[in-house]
Amino acid sequence: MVTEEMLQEFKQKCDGIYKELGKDMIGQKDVVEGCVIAMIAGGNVLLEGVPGVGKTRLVRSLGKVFDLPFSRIQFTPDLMPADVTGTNIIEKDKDGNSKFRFQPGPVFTNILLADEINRATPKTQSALLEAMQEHTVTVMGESYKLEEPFFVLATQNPIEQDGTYPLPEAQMDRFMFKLVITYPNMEELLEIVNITQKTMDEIAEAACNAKELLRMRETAREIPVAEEVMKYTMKLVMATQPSGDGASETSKKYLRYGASPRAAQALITTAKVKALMDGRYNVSYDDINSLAYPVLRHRIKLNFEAVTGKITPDRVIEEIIHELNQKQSSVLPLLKHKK
Amino acid sequence: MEENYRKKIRRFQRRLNLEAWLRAGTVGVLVGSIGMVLCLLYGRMVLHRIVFTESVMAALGILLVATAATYIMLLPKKKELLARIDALGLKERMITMEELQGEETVIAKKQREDAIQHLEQLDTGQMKPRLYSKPWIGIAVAAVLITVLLLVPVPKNEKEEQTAQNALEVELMDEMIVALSALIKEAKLTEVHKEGLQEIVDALAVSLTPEDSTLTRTAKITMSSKRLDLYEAAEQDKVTMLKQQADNSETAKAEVKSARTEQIRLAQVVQDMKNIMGISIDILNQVEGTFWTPGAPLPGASQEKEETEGEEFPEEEDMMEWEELPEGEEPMEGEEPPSGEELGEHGEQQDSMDGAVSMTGTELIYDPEQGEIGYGMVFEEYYQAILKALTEKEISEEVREMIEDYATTLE
Repeated sequence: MVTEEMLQEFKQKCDGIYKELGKDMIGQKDVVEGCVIAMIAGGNVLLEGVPGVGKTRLVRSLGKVFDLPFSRIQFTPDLMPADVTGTNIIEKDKDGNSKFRFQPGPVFTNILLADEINRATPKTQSALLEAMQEHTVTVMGESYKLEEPFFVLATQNPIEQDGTYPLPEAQMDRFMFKLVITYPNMEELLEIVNITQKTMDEIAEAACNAKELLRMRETAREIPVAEEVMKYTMKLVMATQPSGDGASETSKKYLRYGASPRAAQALITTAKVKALMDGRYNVSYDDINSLAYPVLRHRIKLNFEAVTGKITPDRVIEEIIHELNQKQSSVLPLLKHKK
Repeated sequence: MEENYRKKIRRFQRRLNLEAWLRAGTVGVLVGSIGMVLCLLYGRMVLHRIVFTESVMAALGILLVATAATYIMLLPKKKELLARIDALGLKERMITMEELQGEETVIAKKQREDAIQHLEQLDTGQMKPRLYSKPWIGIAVAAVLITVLLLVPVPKNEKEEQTAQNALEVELMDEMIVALSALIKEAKLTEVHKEGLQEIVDALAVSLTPEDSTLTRTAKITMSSKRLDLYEAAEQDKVTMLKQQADNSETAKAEVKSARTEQIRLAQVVQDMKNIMGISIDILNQVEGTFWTPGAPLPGASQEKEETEGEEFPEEEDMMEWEELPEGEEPMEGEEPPSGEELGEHGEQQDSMDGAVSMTGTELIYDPEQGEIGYGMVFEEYYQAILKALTEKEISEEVREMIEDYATTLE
């Protein structure tokens, strides 16, 4: 049961988190906010951006701010699954008998930075599937539970695609958000350069610990969602499915397949966090619409027409939202109204 | 706080009610206009006239009903009202609060407080009425209305035309009766003859009704014309009898002379009356446009009148000369009064109408060069033609009865 104190704590902690992250991250407010929302909601984040825009720095700062153990795996083509999950090693005890002992891999942490995840082979990439979804690791038939909270913050480079292995859809779906880090503007760049002249290390301090983070998650999950908003969310997700009943014209035109039910779950869960972070105790249509981009952009698959027409996933999502709003307001023009 | 909240909600509710009225009114005007167009079309296509007043009344009725029905349909429910308030920037606070009503959790209470707090910051004026903004609908309705009024022709209404024609015919009949009565009144005839002729005219006046068809009227006039002929023939018969019975005394001669003078005057008046009737039948046929000629004699008689117009009737002195003529010698045409020799086998006066045809209107029954024919010569053929027409032609019951009566009087 959520208490008044928990609500106040949520607000205070959020303010603290943003304040500390602001010390290391200049600009990129949407990306920072997305990461914080995903972490509070308990989801994994895929960060996409060209080299040098601060992906790794953001992840390290998050680790510091949330005061959580942090591991980094640099994904390369020769990286093996055992390098990620850990493996059983033979060890002799005091009596001289040999026995297997599980040596945990870097995945056994709270925040895992999977750097350039698309450079590893699909086999190694798949090693993360179970960890990302069930927060467990199974090695030689034995399952090991990961410590909560557990997040995977993966990065990938949109350029230099040679020798990379695009993430399979199953893995993509396990990322709650895909956040795109863009180049900083002039002012931001100037500030970044100034800060890093003093030190390259992250200067952010812990603003929240694991327990508090879990409590914040618990608090956010209690935020109510109106039935109409819930229905709207489901319609939005269904509108991305080109062969579904609620398919939008845009999805029929540009998509091969749409978002899974996991996307709907992610939308509602993260919208609750966003609402509470904004000081609201309910989810709004705007929350859903703004979160639709990071939640859906990696879950929808563009068709050949969209690719050749250089239509981006964000553009498709924008069109779907627009179409859905139009439809909502024109079903019963005498009664409905445009949102 | 709760009271303020309710007041605020009520204010928003009133605004939405007003909006619903305005939108319902728009729908009402639209539907009413369509109804008016349909009424006008109905009037033009079915009733054959512009039913403008009725259309306006119908449009007003439809407008009121449609407005009321639409208003009931548009009347916002509480959830819709709250959704509209949320659309003013409350970010779904109101609809969530509505759903959380009754819950006493910390989150529900906080949410309620937050929603009410934000609602208080709202001004009811922010809720602008959302009206229909489709001017093309109004333009389309107006265009259709104008098209209906101006371009769609009013088809001819046969019934109305018939009514108008009938009114004209009734008026014509009245004028004819007045003219006939005036003619009789002014004629230099004895009162007995005046009364006799007036009786025929009165009988005609009584028989003519506003419900009569053109055909019936023509037949009735023709029948009266024949009655005039009969009346005149009977008078002629009387004069002939008087002449035969008279001795050579001066008194008898004077009596015969006086009777013949009276008979000649009667013949002239009868001729004038028949001319009036002939003209009336001509006009009747022109009004109807069918030029049916049940008995061409009457129109012919009018021609005769035109031909003889200006000629003066012989004075009494001239008539004396006729008396002096040797027996059997016929006087010149146009001067001679009818004589006993000219009567037919039934003792009736011969028909003296030029160009006369039989009832069928096709068969000539006399030599037009001669210009005269005895009534007795044509009677049998005339009677047979009537019987043939009664048995073979399509004649209405009313006219049939009248013709039969007429034929009976001939016997």
